[in-house]
Amino acid sequence: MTLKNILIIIRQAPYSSLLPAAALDVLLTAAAFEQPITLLFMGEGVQHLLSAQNSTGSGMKNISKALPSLELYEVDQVFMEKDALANRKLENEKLVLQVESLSLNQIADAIEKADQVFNF
Amino acid sequence: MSNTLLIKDKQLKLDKNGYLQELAGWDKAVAEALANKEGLALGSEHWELIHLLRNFHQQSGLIPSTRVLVKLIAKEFGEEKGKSAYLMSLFPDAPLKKICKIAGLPRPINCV
Amino acid sequence: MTLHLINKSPAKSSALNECLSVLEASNNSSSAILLIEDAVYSALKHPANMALHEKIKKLASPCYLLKEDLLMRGLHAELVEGFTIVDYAGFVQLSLDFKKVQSWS
Repeated sequence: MTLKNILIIIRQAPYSSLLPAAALDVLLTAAAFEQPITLLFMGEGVQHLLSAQNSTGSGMKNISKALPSLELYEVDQVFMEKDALANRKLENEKLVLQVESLSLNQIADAIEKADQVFNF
Repeated sequence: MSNTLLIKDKQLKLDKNGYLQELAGWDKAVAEALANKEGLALGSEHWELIHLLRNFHQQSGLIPSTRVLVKLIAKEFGEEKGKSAYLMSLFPDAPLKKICKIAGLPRPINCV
Repeated sequence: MTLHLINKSPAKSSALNECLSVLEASNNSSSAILLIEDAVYSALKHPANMALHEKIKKLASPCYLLKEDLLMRGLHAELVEGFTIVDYAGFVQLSLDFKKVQSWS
């Protein structure tokens, strides 16, 4: 099987639509086929990292719960846009996962290097 | 195949594949009855894995693939048990489907 | 070498703005943006679009508009400069010219 470097970008805020949950489905499917995956939270998407979320009773999927387990799926390349939390005054919030930050310049590079980009 | 599971005074609905419809209705007696339908008697080694899988599902919201479940077992109980042969020996034939059913979780959709 | 495809109105989505921020910060100018469907409203001389137009003007990468989507919406008179208009055939050609196409939802 040909390996493709897949970059999944999540830019939509949690619960804003079904897109973030769809992004997780794409990620898990690609991981099942052992493709090298990079996950990047950008813009409003960084809010998926906030650990205080609780979607119980809403009927919507809280994808943040899955993030600490991605390591078991061999998805260890998880990043967020630099300053995106600080711009929202969320830099001191507790996160579900410690992830490295990428500058916009590094994000541009990541997009160029990927074979396939899924932008949610 | 019957679509209800009767345990003492409790009546639990099963879907067409024999999985619990209301996941909240699960308890140890239910697991034993479900295992019995699969021809399994649950021992401490089965319970260890059932609890591990249930905790993983509760924390992550995910149903693991067989490969991920084996890695999870390895991480929790060591390399000796973290092998698909070990999982297969406890839940023969279709281990992931069987353990999910007995643990009262939804039917796994990816079988990779 | 990426063609960035955007299809949402700037009034409803930050997609174009975010895409521009990434391209601005990029070292290479071999990418391009193509605005289709409601994204063609980004080219209107509306005050709300001014910040976007400033970014597009400074950008080394070209920004294309799909002609058919402009005509359909009756938007040919009031567009700002800085965009290149392409038709469907041009859209196909762009998709072939770039190594990959990515849609910003």
